[in-house]
Amino acid sequence: MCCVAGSRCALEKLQRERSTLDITGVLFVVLAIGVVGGGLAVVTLRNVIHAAIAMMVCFGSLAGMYALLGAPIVAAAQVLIYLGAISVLIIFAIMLTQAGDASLRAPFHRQVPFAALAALIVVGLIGWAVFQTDWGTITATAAVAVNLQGLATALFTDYALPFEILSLLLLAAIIGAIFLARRPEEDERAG
Amino acid sequence: MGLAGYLIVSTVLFAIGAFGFMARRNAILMLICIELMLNAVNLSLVAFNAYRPTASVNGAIFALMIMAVAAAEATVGLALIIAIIRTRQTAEVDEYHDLKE
Repeated sequence: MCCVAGSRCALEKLQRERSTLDITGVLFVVLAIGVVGGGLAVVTLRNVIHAAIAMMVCFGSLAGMYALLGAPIVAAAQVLIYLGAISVLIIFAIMLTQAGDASLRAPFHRQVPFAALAALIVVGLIGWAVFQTDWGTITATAAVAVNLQGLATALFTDYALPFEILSLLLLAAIIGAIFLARRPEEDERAG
Repeated sequence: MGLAGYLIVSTVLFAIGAFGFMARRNAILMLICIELMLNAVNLSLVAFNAYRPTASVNGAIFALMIMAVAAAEATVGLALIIAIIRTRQTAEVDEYHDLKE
């Protein structure tokens, strides 16, 4: 009896493991469709606003993929920076600059066939390399979660100098953006 | 799926971004395509980090730093594009041909 209960328990555990694996696989497929479909919509839609919204779908699916890979801090940063900041910035820029349907005529250059060929060559070469490489004994369940405390420690010890350089870069970018986006007549009024 | 699935998604996204950058005529869409390519690289970094045999945080830190650089790049790039559109009244990059003439 005990043995039967034990084996049933082990069977249930196995089934539970398989079902979580299946959920991970299903989530991966759904998110991959979101990422690739969003990317394809970005490059094919004629309306620039629609393309920007497809970009937000793509970035949101990528945030889900980061969470699936056990990196919730990267997923949170993706939502904050890309979905929250960069998407809004890009949509603001589109609304500031696109007058009516000015962008609705021919959205592509004449070199579309060459661009498609180059993209297909990239996919072929890297895909071939990925499938040819022996990734060792690492299995699908071996995805290791990012340790948040270790990340913070590494960021402020090993990566302290890059962190500070990045702060300087962001400051320079802010000042540069303000200088570039200022209207010329404000110069004269100030001077 | 494993590591190969994530790498294939990353490759396809990078190729889509490269195609869009070469094929689209709108300057803002070209910037969006650069962001797609940066995100593809980020995905491959996080995937490699997750499938390391020992726990590591380096891939997550690389991804966060690429995000910060991408934010700076988007800021300056959009400011440049807005300044150009203000003087040339168009977002189509093949209308910017002053140096050719």
